Amino acid sequence: MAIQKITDVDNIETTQEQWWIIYNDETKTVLEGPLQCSGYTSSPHIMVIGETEEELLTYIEENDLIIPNDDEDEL
Amino acid sequence: MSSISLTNASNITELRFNSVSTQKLGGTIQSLDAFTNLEEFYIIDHELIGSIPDISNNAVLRELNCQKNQLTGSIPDLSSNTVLEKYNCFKNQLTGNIPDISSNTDLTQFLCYDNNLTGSIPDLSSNTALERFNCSINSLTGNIPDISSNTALDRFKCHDNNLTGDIPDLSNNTNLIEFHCFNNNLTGYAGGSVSPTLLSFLAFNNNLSISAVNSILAAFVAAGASGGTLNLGVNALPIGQGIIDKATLISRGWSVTTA
Repeated sequence: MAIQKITDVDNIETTQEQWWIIYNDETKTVLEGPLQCSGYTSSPHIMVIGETEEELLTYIEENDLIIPNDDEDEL
Repeated sequence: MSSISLTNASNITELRFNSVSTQKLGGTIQSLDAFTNLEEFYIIDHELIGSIPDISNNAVLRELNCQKNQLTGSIPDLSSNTVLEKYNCFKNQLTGNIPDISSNTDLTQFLCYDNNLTGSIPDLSSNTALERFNCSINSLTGNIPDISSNTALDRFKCHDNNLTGDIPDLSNNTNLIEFHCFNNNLTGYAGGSVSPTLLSFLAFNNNLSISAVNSILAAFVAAGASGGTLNLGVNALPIGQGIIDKATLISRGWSVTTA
């Protein structure tokens, strides 16, 4: 299954099997994920849903997104 | 790969072994006992095995950084290191308990995530200078300790463990920016306010009750901040006022996930 990129994130349902991220398109920063968490999500940012963590990591790399890790970055 | 053998050098105050991708150090870290004036020790991202050095003779040590190696064994006693400010040992293969750090009152950073640590998170009430504490991705049990004394804390992460009990009262943590406790077995929320600085609160995949979920949503509404991230998925479903509070946060530009 292809990656789903959702720009209007209004009560989007995810299942426990899906992997997803939320990222800020202006700063290209990943705010959440990649994570597996079922529920209903609303956000002003972009949501990307895939089947595997690897799919999302590839998406992150191909789109030059940044996963901040403050604990490592500031050492 | 070659071993590191450190010779007596009591006048040395700083030791750094920088990592180059094609030339990583292997072997073990030998005793630091002779380095009685050592203030900073860096040996990051190598292929070192064996134990983290005992630093009980390094009374003026302020920083120990040995993250991203293959170190095993337990974190040694730190009670002699009363001026220690940073202790970073993340991404190793450490086992055993997190030691008592109540003597380390100058500690600002303690990062031990991504190891195989067991036992409970120690009492942090003496660590009033603590800014960052990360014990995520271990096998820790017990409760999240009271962090009301840790008023300088800006990031507290304990996700991916086996923690139980309540998310603590965060009312005194007025500098807190991130609190991540997802993938545990937490059931409640001790209540109280949250700081408007707290913009990343991830507590999904726990067993939080309806009351806890509703109280957390209410606390974030009351804080009045905009544009944060709140994930309470895979917990109880918010009801009543909780649903209204979720909508309020979304209208303020928050990313919100609930069951």
